[in-house]
Amino acid sequence: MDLQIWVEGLYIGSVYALIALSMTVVYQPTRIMNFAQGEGFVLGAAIGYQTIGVWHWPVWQAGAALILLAMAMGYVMERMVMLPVQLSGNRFAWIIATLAAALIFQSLFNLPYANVTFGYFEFFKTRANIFGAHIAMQKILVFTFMVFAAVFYDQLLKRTLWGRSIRAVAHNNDTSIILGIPTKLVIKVAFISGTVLIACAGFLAAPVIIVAPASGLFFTIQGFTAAIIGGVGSPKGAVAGGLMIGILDSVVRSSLGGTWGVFSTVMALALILVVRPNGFFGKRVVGR
Amino acid sequence: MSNLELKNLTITYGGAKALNGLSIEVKEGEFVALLGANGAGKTTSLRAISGLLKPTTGSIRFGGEDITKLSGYKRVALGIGHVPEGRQIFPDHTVDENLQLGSFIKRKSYKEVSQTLEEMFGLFPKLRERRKQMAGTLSGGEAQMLAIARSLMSRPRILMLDEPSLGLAPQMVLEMFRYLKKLHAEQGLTILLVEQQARLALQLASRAYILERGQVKIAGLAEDLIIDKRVAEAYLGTSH
Ligand SMILES: Nc1ncnc2c1ncn2[C@@H]1O[C@H](COP(=O)(O)OP(=O)(O)O)[C@@H](O)[C@H]1O
Ligand SMILES: [Mg+2]
Repeated sequence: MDLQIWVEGLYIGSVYALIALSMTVVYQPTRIMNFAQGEGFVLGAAIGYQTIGVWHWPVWQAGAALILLAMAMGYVMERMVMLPVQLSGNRFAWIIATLAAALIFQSLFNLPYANVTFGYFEFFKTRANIFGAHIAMQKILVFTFMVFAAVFYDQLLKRTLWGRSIRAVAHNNDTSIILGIPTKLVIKVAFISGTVLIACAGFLAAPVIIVAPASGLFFTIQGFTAAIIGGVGSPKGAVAGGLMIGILDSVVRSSLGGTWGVFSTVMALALILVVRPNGFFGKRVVGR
Repeated sequence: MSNLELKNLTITYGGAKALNGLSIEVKEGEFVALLGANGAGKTTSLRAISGLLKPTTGSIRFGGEDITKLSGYKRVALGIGHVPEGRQIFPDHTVDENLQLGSFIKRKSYKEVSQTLEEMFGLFPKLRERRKQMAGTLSGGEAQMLAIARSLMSRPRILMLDEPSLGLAPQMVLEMFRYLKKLHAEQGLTILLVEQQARLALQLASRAYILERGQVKIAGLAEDLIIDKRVAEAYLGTSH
C-alpha cells in the first residue's frame, strides 16, 4: 500500500487525537463528554482565518488573540454546561446542555461566516519527504503539537498534585471538598484549558483541513469516536484512538472512495463497543 | 480557639427536615460524642459543618468566625477536618497520593507536609508499608487509618469522624479508638465523634449529645450518660 496514505492517515488521526484529548481534559474531573468541544476547533480555525487570512496579523498576535478568545469560550462553555447540571441535579442534563451549547456556538459562527471555509496560508510552505511520502510541514506541526500536548497532560495527571486533584474530583466531589480542594475551580480550569487546547488545534490545522462554521459537531463526533475506541478518560487512549481512526479513514477512503471513510470509523466504533466496551486503554467504567 | 458552635440549625432534603433546630457546641480540646439512632441526623450535622450542605436557618461558628455561608473547601484551611462516613478514600490513587491530597491546603509548605507525613507513618506504620499501593487494595482497617491520616494531613484543629468503626472487626475498632485517644491526649486534638457503638464512644468522650429526629434529645457528661437509664435502654443495649 502507498506510504503516502498512511502518512496522511497519521496526520488526520492526530487532529482527531487532539479533539479526543481535549474532550478527555473536560471529562477527567467532570465525567462529562462535552459535545460542544468541536466548536472550540471551529473557533481556532475562524480566528486564524480572520486575523491572519483577512487582517494579515503576525502569527504571534493572532496566537495571543486565539488564547484569550479560547479562554473566554471555555469559561462561557463551563457556565453553559455546569449550571444546568448543578442546578437540575438530573444525571442526563449534561447531554442536552452540551448539545445546546454546540448548536448555540454553531449559530454564532454562522452569523458572520455563513459561506466561508476557514483556510488561510500555511506557516511553513515547505514539504517534508518521509521515505518517499510527501507531507506538508504544517501537518507535521499539528502532529508534533498533538504529541507534546498528550505527553504533557498524561504527566500532569500522574505526577502533579493538580493532576491528582483532577482525578479526585472525578471520583468524589464531596470528599475532595472536605480535603480543601477547590472543586469548582478545578472544573473551570478543565473547561478553559480544554478549549484552549482544541482551539490551538483548529488554528494550526485550519490551513490543511476543511473547517466550516458548521463543522463543529462533525469534529466532535470524530473525537468522541476516537476517545471511545481508545478508552474514555485516558490521554493514551485519545492518541491511540485518534490515530487508529485517522489511518482507517485514510486507507478506506483511498481504496473504496470517500463515502466509506466515515462509515468505516463508525463500524470500528461498533466493533470496539462489542469486543472491548471500555476501549483499548480504558479502565472499567465506574458506575455511580 | 477552636470553639465550634451550631445554633438552631435546620437542614431539609426536598421537604423533609433532617436537622430541626439543632444546637451543639464543642470547645477547644474537648472530645465530644454525637450519638443517636440511624437517621437521627448525625451525618447531616457533620456535612453541614463541612459546608457540604447549606442550612435553611441557623448559624455555624468556628473559632469565633461565622462560617455559615463559607464555601466548603475554605473551611479546611480554618482547621476543620472531616473523616466521612464510609471512609471515602480514593481507591485509584496510591496511599501516598491520598495523603498528599489530604495536604492540599499545605501544598506551598513542602517541609511541613513531609514532616506531617512522617508523623502519620509514625502513628500508622502499616501505611508506610503500603505507600505505593493503590488505596483500593487496603483492608477495611487500613483504609480507615488512611482516611484518618489523610484528614490529619491538613493539620486540623478539630477532627470530625463519622462512624469510623463501621465495617471493622472488633479488634480493629479497639485499635482505632486507641489511636483517637492518643491523638486527643498527646496532641490535644479536638474531636467530634459520631458513633453507632455508643458505649465505646461514651468511654472515650468527655461529653456527648444524643440526637433524635434532627434535635438534641439528651446532652451531658459521658460518665453520667453511660449510667443514665434512658440512654441505656435506647442506645446501649445493642452495642455489645
Ligand atoms: N441525600 C438524602 N436525601 C434525602 N434524605 C436524606 C439524605 N440523606 C439523609 N437523609 C435523611 O435525613 C435524615 C438524617 O440522615 P443522616 O444525617 O444520614 O442520619 P444519621 O447519620 O444519623 O444516620 C434521615 O431521615 C435520612 O433519611
Ligand atoms: Mg450517618
